[in-house]
Amino acid sequence: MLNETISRRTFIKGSVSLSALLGLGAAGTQAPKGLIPKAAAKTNGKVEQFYNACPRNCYDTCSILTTVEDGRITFITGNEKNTYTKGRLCVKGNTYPRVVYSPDRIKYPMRQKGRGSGNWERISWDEAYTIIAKKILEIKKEYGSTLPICLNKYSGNFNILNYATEGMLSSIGYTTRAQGTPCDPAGSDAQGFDMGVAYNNDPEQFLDADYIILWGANPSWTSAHSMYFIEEAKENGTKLVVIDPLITQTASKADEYIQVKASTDGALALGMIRYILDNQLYDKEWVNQNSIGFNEFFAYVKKNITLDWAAEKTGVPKPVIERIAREYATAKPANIWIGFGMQRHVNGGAMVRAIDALAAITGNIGKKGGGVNYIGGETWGFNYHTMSFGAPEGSGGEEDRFVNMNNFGAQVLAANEPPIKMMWIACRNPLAQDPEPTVVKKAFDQMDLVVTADLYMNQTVEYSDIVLPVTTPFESVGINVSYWHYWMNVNEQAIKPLYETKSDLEIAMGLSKKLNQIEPGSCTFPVSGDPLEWVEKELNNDIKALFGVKSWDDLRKNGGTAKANESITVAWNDLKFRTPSGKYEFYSKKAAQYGHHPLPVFTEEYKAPKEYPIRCMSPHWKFGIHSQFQHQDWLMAIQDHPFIEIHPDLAKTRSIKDGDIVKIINETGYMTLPAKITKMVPADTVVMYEGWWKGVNYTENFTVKALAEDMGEYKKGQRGIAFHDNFVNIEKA
Amino acid sequence: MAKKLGFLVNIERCIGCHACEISCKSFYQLEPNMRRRRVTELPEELVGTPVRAFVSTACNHCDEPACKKACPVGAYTKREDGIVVHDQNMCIGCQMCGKACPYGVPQFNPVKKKMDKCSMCYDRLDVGQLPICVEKCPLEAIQIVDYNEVEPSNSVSVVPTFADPSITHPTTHFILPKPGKQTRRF
Amino acid sequence: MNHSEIKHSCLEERMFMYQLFLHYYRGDLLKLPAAEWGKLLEILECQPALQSNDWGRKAVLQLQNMTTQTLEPFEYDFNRLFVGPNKLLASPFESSYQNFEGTVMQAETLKVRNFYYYEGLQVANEGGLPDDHIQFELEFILHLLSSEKKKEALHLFLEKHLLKWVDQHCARIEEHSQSLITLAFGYMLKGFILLEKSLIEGEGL
Repeated sequence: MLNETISRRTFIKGSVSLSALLGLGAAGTQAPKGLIPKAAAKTNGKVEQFYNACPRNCYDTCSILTTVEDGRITFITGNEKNTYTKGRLCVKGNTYPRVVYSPDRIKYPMRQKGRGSGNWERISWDEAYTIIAKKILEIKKEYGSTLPICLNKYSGNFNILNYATEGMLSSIGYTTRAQGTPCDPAGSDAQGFDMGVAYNNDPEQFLDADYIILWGANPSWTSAHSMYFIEEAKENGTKLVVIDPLITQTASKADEYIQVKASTDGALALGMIRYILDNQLYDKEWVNQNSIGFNEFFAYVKKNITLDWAAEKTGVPKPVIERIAREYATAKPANIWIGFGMQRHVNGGAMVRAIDALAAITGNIGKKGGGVNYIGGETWGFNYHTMSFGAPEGSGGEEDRFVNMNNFGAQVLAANEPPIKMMWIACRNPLAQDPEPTVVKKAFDQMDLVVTADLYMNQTVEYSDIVLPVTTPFESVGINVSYWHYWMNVNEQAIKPLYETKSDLEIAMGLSKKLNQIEPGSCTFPVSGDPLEWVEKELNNDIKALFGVKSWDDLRKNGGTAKANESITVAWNDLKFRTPSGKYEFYSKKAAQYGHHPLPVFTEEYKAPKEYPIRCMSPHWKFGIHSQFQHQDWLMAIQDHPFIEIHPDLAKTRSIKDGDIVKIINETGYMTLPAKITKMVPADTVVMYEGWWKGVNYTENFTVKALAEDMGEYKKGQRGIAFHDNFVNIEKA
Repeated sequence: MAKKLGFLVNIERCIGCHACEISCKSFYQLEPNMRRRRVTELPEELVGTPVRAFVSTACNHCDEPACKKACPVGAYTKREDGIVVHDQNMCIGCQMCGKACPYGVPQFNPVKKKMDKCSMCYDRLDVGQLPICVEKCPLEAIQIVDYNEVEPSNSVSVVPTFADPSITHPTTHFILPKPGKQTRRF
Repeated sequence: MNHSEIKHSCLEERMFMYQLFLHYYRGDLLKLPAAEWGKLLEILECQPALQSNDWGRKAVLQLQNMTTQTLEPFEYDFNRLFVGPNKLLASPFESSYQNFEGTVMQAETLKVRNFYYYEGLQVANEGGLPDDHIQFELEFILHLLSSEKKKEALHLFLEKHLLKWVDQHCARIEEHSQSLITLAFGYMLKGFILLEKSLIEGEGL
């Protein structure tokens, strides 16, 4: 017994003894006071409004109006001054008050004793910086460079100031980076080969379209604000066609839905092209003036593509292909939106090239309200000042080393000379979102130190050594643009950061300060600075002119949101393509350089292995953006468990009834979850929605292999993942 | 003539996103299980071809509100403009109204020990603002209509899962989706 | 302990207990070396407030069984209950108990803030830390205890705030505690709050 081991002393009564024992002197005198005399000016009932920007990885990237009463957020809604946000938020954005004030936020820097043990001790920021800085310097000494340090950061927060994390890592020397994107790589390469770069029309121009094809896109769930413009267009008489393997929420709204066999969309586009060419419905003048390689492509189509083949391949009857082709070719302008899901196949890039070609031969590219719209980056011309400091003198290595974000676990394990020993994870939850999560976990096991900066406990934080608490958008400063619409949104600090949370920028400055204290000159990142000054440094004259703003502060004072001028909102309006030829390239030498066919040809889809005949798709879910939002209890109150959608015919073959627990299995892994019997999915495909990790011991990626898409290296450095070429078997559990 | 206000819910435009429900919840700072407006899934075969369809409902501000009849303390009033108002200060939490309402609209709040329901944001309407759900629907699928002025010809007063309107004469009307063409894989 | 002696804890005893809990929730005991725990126990063993009901006695008994092995998991368990980074198992914020979902910085928090204002006080990091964290409420009570004139305010604050939620807080500690020490302090708090309740009821307002 503990108290027997010490000698009994004279009892000193009460509080004095307690404080003496705790080394605090007389009661409370030396202890830091939690309560202090009230500042004289404090009054109640003060109501303020601030502009914020939703920084999540989302098409809509909303401008937000935040109401703050007595320093506390009471309502968060859309900014009416932004004609795309239109004063309204999606369901996820409406949960932001809960995101900020949930009792479950990560509040303090903490260190876990034993990765995955759940034994956390609270540490100060100074201790956290010291542990991390010492490890960095130790690694640098041992390996002669900082290459054993690996950054895995991506899309959890697209505030431009959050690139401070990348900047901080660059400022300590050359490091290893998780490169690429699980998002859009194959399609972006495809549009890169065809047009030089992916570039989309302003989505507000759906109103100007005469005909809209949403090709594998489900904006009802992923871009509600775009869906508004589409519904408005529909009411004005625009025909909405949705091509998708699934009857999505958006397909449910279509004037015409066409179910295509997954991963054969390129065959459908080529079938339509064949019909258009045969019937002289193409825009000869456009093709002659603005493209190269049309004749070669024409010859390929004539020789290899028939409508019977396309019908057989895609499951879409020939008369439907013919009718849709005619309607599309004769509507002016006709608008195609290619969803990211459609290219998450082993032939995804080739399919996007075929659809691009369809838009090109009909002269729909470069037209207001038309276009072949996928993604764009025209408004992203910031200075990226946070990434501009460079490696300190004498840091070893010659350049950063890259591992593929999409095969992160395996490539981290394979890296050697030097091996990877430390990971910094920010704006990501790789243990939930990556394919083959068990391999990712093995990679974690190899680390000396795993540091994760996050808002909430999740699988990745659970398996980290140090967690750093970060701010919500409402607690820090920033600026955001979208890869879809043409607005720039300021993000003001609306409230004080809760607890000890810090932004990625502040963390970068704090760590740099510590590194320089321990070893002067070891980090080039500035050690201090006002975030308001940092954010002003992001704007250059070009971007100011583009948006017609004088400064960040000017924009803050004038509505918090600005739209880019019309010179860029119609993609390729000047028809000056950024390809080597300056023309639209049906024949792309660049594609050939990257090992692809130079023409937009059909490449075969991934075939189901015999043992695993069922395709399992994992599209985005309406209550989440990847692993964010879904876990919020406001949304859990609506839907509290994941499920798998199964067609009644398929369910029948395995005696599965609605609500039955189903086991999904393949060679990579398995999971069990309840069935939802529905005709919204085809009979050879099951669907489980992406990003659900809360309250379950699996993620949709348990059966997903790191199977590569066909493209991605050209624009993103790495190929993407064929998430939707995931084949499984199912049985009643 | 007095107004007869009611919700007009356009199911053709509704994408089942629940933004109406969560913006209401956020604005009134309601607990997660308190749902003054709720979005429910409709049968897939609603309009013939199978689709994902949802309907958003709140209090139906009935012409003959069963809640008002059932309340033993007179906490319910029907305003001249048709809005059925529940006075939480008077409410004793007996839950009789919840049992009487064929739509199960009044909900018991176990923290406040009171009933709770949609007020059509009458305090906002009174100062010329729209109800939160109407203003915040990303698809503009919810409207307030004065049914004494206009009865939208394309609307219906009942959808599947919705109780028989002859009981309480709800004012809510719905615009049903137009069935689209579907080509299923052969 | 003679029951009549402690009829209701005297001011000094009450201040000791509030101070003890303040130190505890502020995390001051987390770094207490093993040897010092013995001294603390000696002090606790002599506290009338702890000897006057079952919960207090149970708590002291628990602590008497403490070994050096008990100390290590104490900090982890303390964090699991009150600090994070996981979902808090026994939130130390009043507002977590006054609305279903435990959201912090709600109307309840502002009521607590207004109480502090009324006494000319505020949380040092106002806005950064919710005003209704138990450590601030305890500190505030100590402030009110320091003057006989503030007795009315003290009773009002206890009734409207601390006494309203601490039972639920203690229940969550009992449910989720995995350490002898956090459990003992949960018992101690529960027992002490019972005394405070009976004191207030006895004195009336």
